Amino acid sequence: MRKNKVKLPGIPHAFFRWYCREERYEELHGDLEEFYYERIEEIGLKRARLLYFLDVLRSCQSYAWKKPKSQTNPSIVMFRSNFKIAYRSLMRSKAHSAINISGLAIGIAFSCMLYLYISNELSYDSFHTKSDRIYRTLTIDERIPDKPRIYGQGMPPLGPALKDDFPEVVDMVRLYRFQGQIVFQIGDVNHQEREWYSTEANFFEVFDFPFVFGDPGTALAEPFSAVLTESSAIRYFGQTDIIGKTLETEANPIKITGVIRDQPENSHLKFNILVSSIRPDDRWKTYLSSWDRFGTYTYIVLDDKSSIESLVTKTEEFESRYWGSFGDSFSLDFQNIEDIYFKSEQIEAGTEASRGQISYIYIFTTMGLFILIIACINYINLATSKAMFRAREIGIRKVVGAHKRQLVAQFLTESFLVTAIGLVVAVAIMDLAFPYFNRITTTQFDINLNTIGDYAPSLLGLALIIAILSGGYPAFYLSQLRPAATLKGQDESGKRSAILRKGLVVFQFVLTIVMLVSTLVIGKQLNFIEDKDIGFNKEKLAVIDINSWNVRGQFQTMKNELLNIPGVASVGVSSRVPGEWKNIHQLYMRSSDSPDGGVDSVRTYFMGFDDGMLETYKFEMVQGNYFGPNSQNDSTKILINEAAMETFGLADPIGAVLKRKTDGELVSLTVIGVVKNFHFQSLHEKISPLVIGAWNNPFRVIDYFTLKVSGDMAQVLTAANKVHEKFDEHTPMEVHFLDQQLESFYEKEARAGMIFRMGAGLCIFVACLGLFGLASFTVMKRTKELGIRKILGANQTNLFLLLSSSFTKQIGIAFIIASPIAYYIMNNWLQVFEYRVSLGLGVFLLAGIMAVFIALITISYRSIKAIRSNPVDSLRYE
Amino acid sequence: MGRTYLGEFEELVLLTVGVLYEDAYAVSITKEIIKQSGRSVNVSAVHKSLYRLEKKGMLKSHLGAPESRRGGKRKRIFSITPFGKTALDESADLRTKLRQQIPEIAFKWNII
Repeated sequence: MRKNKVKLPGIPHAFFRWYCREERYEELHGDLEEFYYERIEEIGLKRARLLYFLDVLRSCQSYAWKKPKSQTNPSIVMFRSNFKIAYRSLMRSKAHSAINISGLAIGIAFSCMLYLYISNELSYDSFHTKSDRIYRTLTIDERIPDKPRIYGQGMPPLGPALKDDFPEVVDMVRLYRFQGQIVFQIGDVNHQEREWYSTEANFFEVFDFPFVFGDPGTALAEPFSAVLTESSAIRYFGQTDIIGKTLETEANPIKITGVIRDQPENSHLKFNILVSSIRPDDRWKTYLSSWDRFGTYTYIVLDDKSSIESLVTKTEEFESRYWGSFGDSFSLDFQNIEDIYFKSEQIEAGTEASRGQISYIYIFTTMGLFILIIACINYINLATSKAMFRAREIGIRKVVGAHKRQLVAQFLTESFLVTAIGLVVAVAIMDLAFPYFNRITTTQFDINLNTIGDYAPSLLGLALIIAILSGGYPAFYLSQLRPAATLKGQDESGKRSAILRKGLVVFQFVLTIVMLVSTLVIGKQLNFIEDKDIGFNKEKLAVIDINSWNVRGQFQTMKNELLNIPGVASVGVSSRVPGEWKNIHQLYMRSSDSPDGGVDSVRTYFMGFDDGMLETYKFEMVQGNYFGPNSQNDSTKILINEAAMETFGLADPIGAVLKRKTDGELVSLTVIGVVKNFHFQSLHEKISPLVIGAWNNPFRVIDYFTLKVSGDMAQVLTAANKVHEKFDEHTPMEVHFLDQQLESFYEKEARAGMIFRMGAGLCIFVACLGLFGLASFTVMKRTKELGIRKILGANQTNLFLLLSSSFTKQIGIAFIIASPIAYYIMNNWLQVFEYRVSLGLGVFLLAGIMAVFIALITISYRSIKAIRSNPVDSLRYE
Repeated sequence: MGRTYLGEFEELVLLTVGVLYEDAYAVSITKEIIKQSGRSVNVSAVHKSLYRLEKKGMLKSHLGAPESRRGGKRKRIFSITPFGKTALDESADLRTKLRQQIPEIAFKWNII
């Protein structure tokens, strides 16, 4: 006899306990255990456990099950009977059940997906445990009081000073990105990373980014340490366990001390590499303590008792203490990190990788609600029209003594059953639709056995609301029918419900037409953007970044070599390019006749161009000349665009002088030409004043080559890469295609347009499903009438008009109601764009006609069948 | 006469209960059937038959003493009732009777 100290497999045992009836547990499980212990000795623990598990599964049979308690509780008995009746009624009219279920399933699936998307958007940065207490500092530039500029960065010593001076600031961390990219070697291969920050040791105390390898407490404590994200670790090293490996740089090697998970989608901070201090030089030390320098991102953490408002009241005194005269025109502000994603429209040069638009959240919420409402209305309409056929059932139930409450319960059971089936179908739809949906929204939702738990609460909640919404009215309506009348065969479905039904159909189509109009307008606007003449030629332009001083010094030579590549039509060199994706520099300038001193008068955008840019971008000159090829003497000559000419009020611009203060010195710039307005920013923006300096202007250095390619793009790029390598040994060539960059300006709109189209399509589909159901009821009810009319000589057209006129009328009313609503919504949406299409009558008419047309097609299937039938058949059916 | 149908596997279990006499419980019955018939039998199948036979009144049972090799649990020991014996006898009789009625010629395959 062995002493049993071996544990039983937990989960199978628990399962057995759960299903096995109490009085047989001892003997049955005893037998299983006996086998189990014997098998351990014979064939080992592992296989014994497996066999035990199989035994448990096999024993799960009726002899072992708990006995169902015989039900005496009347409400449970009633529930069972209700359920049975609901099931039978579903099976009896399969077509209607299918309409209801598929409508609800589509509604649930689509709105649930929208809900997930919206809640993901709204959850930005809330995954940090201290997220409600972490604030980033903002600097407000109030030099032009009515046009303040807000920056997401500030002075380097700001953070430590805040922490020292205010006890409520318990922690702070600073981030720097002092050059556009960090360049390093792994083995012999050069790499550069643009998504990087340099930061301080306590970064991971402030923010929660989970570690895969390494210790968050010490990872960034030493200088020259780096933390990589999992995906960048794989990209650079092919594996994630890379602690102790190094990134070689020109200065010290940087040691890898940690690997973290990739930042979740909903983080405003996005980076691939995080390094501790990698600049021990004196210049850096000076920078860190300079109150007149800029470019540091500072985050502070408040203690949990203090509010940010009380801190804000103390900043004025703080500003005057440290900022001196700066404090007059600059001020300090704070922004909670949960607000960054949606409330940073006005903020420049911040850390946020992308910005959300709260208006889309509203639009999508409305859309989700629309489609749900439409699906619910389907259910209500079909259930009340079915009442006609079920009136007798209800009458008899009442006669034999059913209470109203019981009837309500029965009909609610029916709607719960329909919703439950719809829910299951919805999950299947979501599973199929997620890959597509993810591609549109750039999210990563997935539904499977592991994640279904996350979705369950929202799905179940939604289903519950739908079941009550859609089942509620029919239940009360049906249970109110008078038994005497229904049994006598009088039509009890009555005027009241008919009016309601019509009203609901109108409502459905109002929603549908609003969606249709919106979709059409969005499509039109997106096409407009695509086709709009932006004032320069964007096709086949490849923009190459200049990342080294070596290239800047010899750019003329490099430009000539690029020009020699076959297939390159022209090359332009510039500090920024039209359609720029980075920050375009701005300068304050004034015309020579305005008085000196004080604040400069006009804020203009500024770019430096060389002589090749005109040919490359093909923008137009209105007056004067462009820079000549021998441009050494052009450094103080400028071009302006028409908008700038207007803003400066220059009647005769050629030869006019604009002034700009740089380092205390006044630089005079002579206008030599005026360019036609072109859209150097996205079409969300109005064309602003732009000053174009020569490549050797005193303000900005050159940053890009632009290649106008006439031949094969791939071949040209390969050749260009060789040229690039010759001049810049350290950084790999960076290429952007201008047309793609321009498209990315409207990515959000394009994405919203896709979702809208999907939503509108589904709305119409679900509404038509309901219409189809209703139409078939109407036809059924009027079969005899149609037969008589036919005998009396009505032709088919008359009959079709008769059947469709009421629906057409309803859609007409819906159109009249929907148009102003759609106008209001779309007019608002278009305000985002500075250049937009007009809301003509056309889209509305088109949407109206589409709605009527689709509806008629839907109805016609049933009605044509009825009209065509032989009147003898329909009249003989009694 | 044939009031209660006795399945083939049930008959096997009923017989084995008799064979094992005072030590007939699910585990031993399973092992005995495996040993004697060479079939692969799962204890759940035996359980199923045992409870069904008991319900039909062909078996009766009582609980034995707790044993440590079964985790301190008691076992249910089965024994045949007189009705069980009648059922077995009838079944066996029927088989013999039918067997005897097969004409000898039915086994002479190589004549034709």
